[in-house]
Amino acid sequence: MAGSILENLSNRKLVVIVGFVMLTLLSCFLLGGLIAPAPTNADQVLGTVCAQETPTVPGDFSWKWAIPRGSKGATNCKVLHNLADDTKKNINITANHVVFTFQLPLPREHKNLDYSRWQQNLMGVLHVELYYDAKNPLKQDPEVDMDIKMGYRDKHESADTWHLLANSTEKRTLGCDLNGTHHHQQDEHIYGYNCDALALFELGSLHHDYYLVNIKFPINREMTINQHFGLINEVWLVVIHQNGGFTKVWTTMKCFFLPLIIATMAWYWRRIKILERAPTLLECSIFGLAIVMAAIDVPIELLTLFYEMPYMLLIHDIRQGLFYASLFSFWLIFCGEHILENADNVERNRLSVYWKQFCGVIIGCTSLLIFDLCERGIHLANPFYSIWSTKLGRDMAQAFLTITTGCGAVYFFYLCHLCLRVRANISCKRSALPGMSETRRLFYEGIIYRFKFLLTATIVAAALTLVALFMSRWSEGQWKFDEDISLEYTSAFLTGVLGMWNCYVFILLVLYAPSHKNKGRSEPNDLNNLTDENQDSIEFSRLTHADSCNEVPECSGLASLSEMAKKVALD
Amino acid sequence: MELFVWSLQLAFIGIVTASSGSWMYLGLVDYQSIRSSDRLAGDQPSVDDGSPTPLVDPLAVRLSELCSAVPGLVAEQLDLCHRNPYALLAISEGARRGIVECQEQFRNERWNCTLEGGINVFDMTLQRASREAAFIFAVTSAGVVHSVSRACSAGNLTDCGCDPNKPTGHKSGRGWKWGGCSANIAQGLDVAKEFIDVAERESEKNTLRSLMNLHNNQAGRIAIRKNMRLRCRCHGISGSCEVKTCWMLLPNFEDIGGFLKEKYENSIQISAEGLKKQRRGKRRVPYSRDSLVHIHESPDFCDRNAKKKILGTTGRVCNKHSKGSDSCDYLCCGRGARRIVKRITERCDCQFHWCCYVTCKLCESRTETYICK
Repeated sequence: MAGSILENLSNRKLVVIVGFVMLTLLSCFLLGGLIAPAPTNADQVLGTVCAQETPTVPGDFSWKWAIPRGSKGATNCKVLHNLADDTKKNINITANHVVFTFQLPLPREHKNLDYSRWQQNLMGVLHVELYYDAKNPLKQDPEVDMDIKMGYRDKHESADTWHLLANSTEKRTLGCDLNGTHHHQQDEHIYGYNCDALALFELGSLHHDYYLVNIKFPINREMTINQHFGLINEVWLVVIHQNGGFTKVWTTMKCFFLPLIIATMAWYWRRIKILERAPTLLECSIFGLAIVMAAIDVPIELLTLFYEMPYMLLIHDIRQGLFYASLFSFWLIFCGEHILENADNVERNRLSVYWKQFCGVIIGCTSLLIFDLCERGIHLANPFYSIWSTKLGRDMAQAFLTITTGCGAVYFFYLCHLCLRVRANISCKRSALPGMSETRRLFYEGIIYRFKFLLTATIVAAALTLVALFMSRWSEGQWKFDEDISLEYTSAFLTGVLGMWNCYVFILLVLYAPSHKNKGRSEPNDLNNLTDENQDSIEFSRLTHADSCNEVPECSGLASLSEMAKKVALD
Repeated sequence: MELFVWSLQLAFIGIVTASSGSWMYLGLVDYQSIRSSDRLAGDQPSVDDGSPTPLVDPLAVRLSELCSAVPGLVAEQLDLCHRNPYALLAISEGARRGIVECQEQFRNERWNCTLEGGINVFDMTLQRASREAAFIFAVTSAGVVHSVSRACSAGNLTDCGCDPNKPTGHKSGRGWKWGGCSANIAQGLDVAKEFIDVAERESEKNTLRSLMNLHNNQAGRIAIRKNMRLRCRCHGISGSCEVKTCWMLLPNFEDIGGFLKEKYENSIQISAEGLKKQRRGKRRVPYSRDSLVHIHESPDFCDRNAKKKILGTTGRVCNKHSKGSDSCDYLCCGRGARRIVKRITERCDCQFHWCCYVTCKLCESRTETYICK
């Protein structure tokens, strides 16, 4: 690769660019922390228990919508205030009469709230509270069968007009803490179990104003389903949606970064086009990375304000996946191109050289994509589907995730190995530098400097991500009342990470673009063809640069000694 | 399990004066049946989409009237009740839960949370300022937090706030569409504080007794907050934990009862001198925010005392083989117990089935019960 801007940049300009990037990063972080609300919000809805007049058999969804807050109060619903007490009165109902109903969102401050399309997506998690009954204790991992029906309504429609969104029969396994209640068992109290939450549904687009969820836990004639738990006391539905404010901040950021990245890309590509040679592999991979970054920055979220796009979550995942795939590939190529091993120098600069390494990245990403398609792809047809609910699905999901993790681990170790190899070569080359011809020395110093700069930038980026992740985790742990947390760490983490990768790509584009000072130079590999005239001009810029570049502690004694001698000579 | 039966007529005895515990009477009124018998209004209060219009809901009007009939409510409590009659349903449900839980927790003790009548429900016990009173204040206060939070979550209370500044630390001011709404526990805590604590401020200002009541009310609220169950869900890229959302689940009220029972056993005695020293900064706070405090020692509740409205333990069923508080030695205060042997046929091994029936076997057995002399 030809000399890049980085090597020929004066110290002042470099400081200005790095300073600008750092400022952008800081403002992204503060934007998320101070202005944006938390990325998501969870609302807890307690199910209204309804007894309906006509029972349905399992798998039959023909029951009328049970509406807790219809035009005339509860509609198609005789409210049971306490199922346990009502059961004792031997009221003549069965499970097939009973509907747990949830109308979303809840009313607040005397107003019927409605969902905004800025809130993007909706996720439902179910908490089933079971009574502890000493005579019928819960078996390990009981299964629950549910008939679920979900409907939607818009503002202009009447309160009882609900349209079917989806219905499904689902089986889930309840993970309950059976031992948690043991100390109550002697005195035969009826206490509750602590059970895990069940994933209920996931909507990729929050297109309508109101939603209604009806759940039945039916029984069949053969008494084969829903027999392994005593009594469902109450059912809570926790609905999680993205916060409108967060979406607004998020899209604003994207709208800011998109033109910036595109403009930088255009400038970068123009510089490459000006060169007489064809673009190198590394240049192409930086450009590819920038294209993917720009794709992430396209604010297609804005389209959801007008169109129903249930595949948004999938698109989001795929965009992120593509970015990580190209980032990983870029690191591979970058390390590979800077390996400095003369023996295979000739073979480099071709994509085919890296096919083995790419295979790993591709296999890892593909298996993650398949997993994603299995979960979120099927959600397009059935929002209640969960790959984890069946044994086969669980095994498959685990297999895909294992493959991904394996590929990730292999990739990481390979990259570390590559980095160490480059480092070893660098120190070896550096000790040999003084003995080299001027041109050759400059060529290697350039490579070393480029590599070290990117390595530092990447380590800083990774460290920042980790610190931000740790901080947002820490703030989640600090779940306290009464205390006014002034910084929203989770939002700050997300906006900070988006800003950081944009800045990373920006820096790559700007600093690793080919330098105009090298214009007219021939192919970099033909080192011996260099003429004396331009050698002089380069020599001057390189030397002043080496002056400022603070790498002396890492140089071998011999190298630093010779550099000192050179400086003295120059003076 | 028929724990207790109360009569609706037990009130309206004695002179009606405002006092701290009067509101607990709400727990004895079966508002739930009033609500379900009132078919006119349906089950839910009406909500409007636009500007708030005055409630012309017959159920609300009836609830509001009922409020005025409750003896001994202070002016602020009546005011809140008229402004928001539906909150009254939740508050009365909370008081009822508190009383039921009290009887459940103390069913094996010498003092078994006896309903003493009068407008205070626990007439003399509350006046005594002993640890029993501390427990009653705490458990009913916790009951109100619990049931108001539940009512908000069920959509039964329409005026639950949406202040995202409350427990979860969100930014405030931009409302539901910007940052979502706060958890409903915030409303429960607010209502409990506003409705229950106001009685203390009204009657005896800054006396040791009102400090004790305020502290125990607060201990009840803290009991709920401390026992909230944190649950989280990851939903980042491909379900990774890049984005995690957490929420606090309301505790089972039975667990709150057990928690407060422990606090009852470790209740701390306070005195006026102690508080003065504390205020002058000479002593460190002798008790934490979540512990119960009392002023006077409890009587032993062994013997019947009509004046103090203590029933005594004569006639209580005790357990011969127990070593705990329901053992015959302890419960009968050394008077011994009578043994009664009966041969009975009863329903046994009853099982709940989903849903909604109970199967039982008929068992014939010889039972041996012990009753305190």
